[in-house]
Amino acid sequence: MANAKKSILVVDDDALVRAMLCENLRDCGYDILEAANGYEAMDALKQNALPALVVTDIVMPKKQGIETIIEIKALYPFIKLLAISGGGGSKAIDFLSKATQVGADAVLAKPFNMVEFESTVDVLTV
Amino acid sequence: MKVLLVIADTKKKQALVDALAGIAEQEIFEASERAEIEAQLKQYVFDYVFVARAALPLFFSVLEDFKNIKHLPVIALHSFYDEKLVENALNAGAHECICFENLNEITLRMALVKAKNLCAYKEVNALASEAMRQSCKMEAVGRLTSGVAHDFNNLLTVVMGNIHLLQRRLERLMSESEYAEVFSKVEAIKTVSDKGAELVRRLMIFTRQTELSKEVVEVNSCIHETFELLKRTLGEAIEIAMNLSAERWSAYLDPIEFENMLINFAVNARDAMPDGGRLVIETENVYLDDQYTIRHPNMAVGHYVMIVISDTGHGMSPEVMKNIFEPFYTTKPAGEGTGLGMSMAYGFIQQCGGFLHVYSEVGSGTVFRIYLPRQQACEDALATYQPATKLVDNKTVLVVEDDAVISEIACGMLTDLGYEVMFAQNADNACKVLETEASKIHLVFTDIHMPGNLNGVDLARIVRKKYKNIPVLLSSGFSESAIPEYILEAGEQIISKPFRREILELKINSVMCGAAYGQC
Repeated sequence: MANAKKSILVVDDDALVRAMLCENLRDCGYDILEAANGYEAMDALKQNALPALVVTDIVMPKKQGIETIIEIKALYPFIKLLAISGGGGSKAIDFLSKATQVGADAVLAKPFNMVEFESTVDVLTV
Repeated sequence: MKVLLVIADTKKKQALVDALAGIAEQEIFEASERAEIEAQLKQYVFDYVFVARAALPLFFSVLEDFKNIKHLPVIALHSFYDEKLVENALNAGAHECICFENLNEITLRMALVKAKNLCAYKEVNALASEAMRQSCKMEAVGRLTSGVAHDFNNLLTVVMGNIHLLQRRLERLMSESEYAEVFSKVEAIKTVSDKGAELVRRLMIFTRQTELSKEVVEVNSCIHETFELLKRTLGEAIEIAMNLSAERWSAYLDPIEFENMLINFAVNARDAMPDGGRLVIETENVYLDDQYTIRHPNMAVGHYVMIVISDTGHGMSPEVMKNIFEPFYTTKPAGEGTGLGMSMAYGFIQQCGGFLHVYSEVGSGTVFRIYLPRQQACEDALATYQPATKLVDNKTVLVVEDDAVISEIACGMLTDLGYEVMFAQNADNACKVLETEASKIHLVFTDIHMPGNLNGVDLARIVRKKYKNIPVLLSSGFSESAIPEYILEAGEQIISKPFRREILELKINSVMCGAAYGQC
């Protein structure tokens, strides 16, 4: 994978998922920012050079992914968004549909094939 | 009418028989001992039972053993009126009380009507309570399951992601021969992780968290297409027969999950018939009226395609039947069934807006009845659809779509249908086109989900406000059930991608004429 200069913000409340995603993306040559929830994500965006892509979980304590996507799209419309979710609600509409409705550029259901994840990230950071 | 008298006093018995004689023609049966009551209840179906107050405990203790008797109005007979005794009789289970001291045709007539009504009310009430209890239980199991599914998906993400990482590092760090040694171990972990992911996916169908790719399909064709696969699943010892309705109704479902559901039913039927047997799949078009739904409170009035799957297997006890739709409930030996087949079927049918009814007799077999709502609007639309013989003249459609492949398909279809086509890649560009070309545009056909400041819904609002004469047709990659209702305003129509040319044409005609074609 190319683009060593591009950076990605990874937002997931599950530390193990976050660590795994960050490490895979670092292996692929990206600079990585991390956040455990939506608030931390917004802070990270304010305090750092803006990333090309935000990879965000949906079901998180404190600030949820959907709310975070809406806010990022409003403030930084040029940042691409990849939503990931393992489901979790009892409603018929799953979270990834909602994520797309509010502006996510791509969505992946957990658990995902890592090759697919990396190629999606590649496409979104071109 | 058939009447059973549980009464010992000959004089009182005669008074009652005389009063009954004036009301209707009847057959009167008598019983006073336990064995006699049992024998009568076994042999006949009674319209009413009259029981002397003193015999009420005996009668109801016998009735407890007749669980299949659900609708039997019981009238208690009192020698005289005593408020406390009447209350006791009603609490014991009687539906009405009458006293010999004011027994006549009128009081008896009233007692019969009141007993019958209360009996029917109690029955419906009991059915509704049971349906409510069952639905609460499934809801609770669903909530629990969706929580587990979410946690497992995260665990599996970590496992699968780290395996990927590990594989890449090992490839880099090890020699080819060293790597060859660990390769099979890594592959084994990958395989079981994939299996775990598949298991959770099935669970999520039960909890209705998996988005289905639903489309309007003719149910009989779907069953026909699955026939060979079902035959192979069942093996040679089991005979399979189909009896499909002549009139072909359609339902809105995901054909792949529908096929999976049929296979799950077939697998269960096969396991219930280890020595062979017969599986019959039938379809029938039915209308469930309020008389039916009052007795089946979990169902709704309407037209349905009913799919009946019956086997001649060992059947299920009422206890087993109560639990079969719960995830991981299985009667099969450990390792032979996941206990998810019926749960998936349940979730799938619910997500299609349908209902499932099961009837089983131990030793005789099981019948599943699946009710899927009929999609009549689409059937009618397609039945009357005639490919355009005369091309549309001088009408222009503005297509707004960010996906190049889809826009090409849509523009191609519209051109085929005789429309002039203008194109914009997103809603912002569409607004610019409209500013200069609005007078030439007859319809805006826009995707909902697009990058940029405005999405398709925003564009529709702008068109509605600024260019009132131009109708809008929205398109979405999501199934209609996944689109929140608030998105659409009155008169607006939406088409799910991928769409067929005839459906697109019908939708366009419908939008342009302002006529509704329902949920095509």
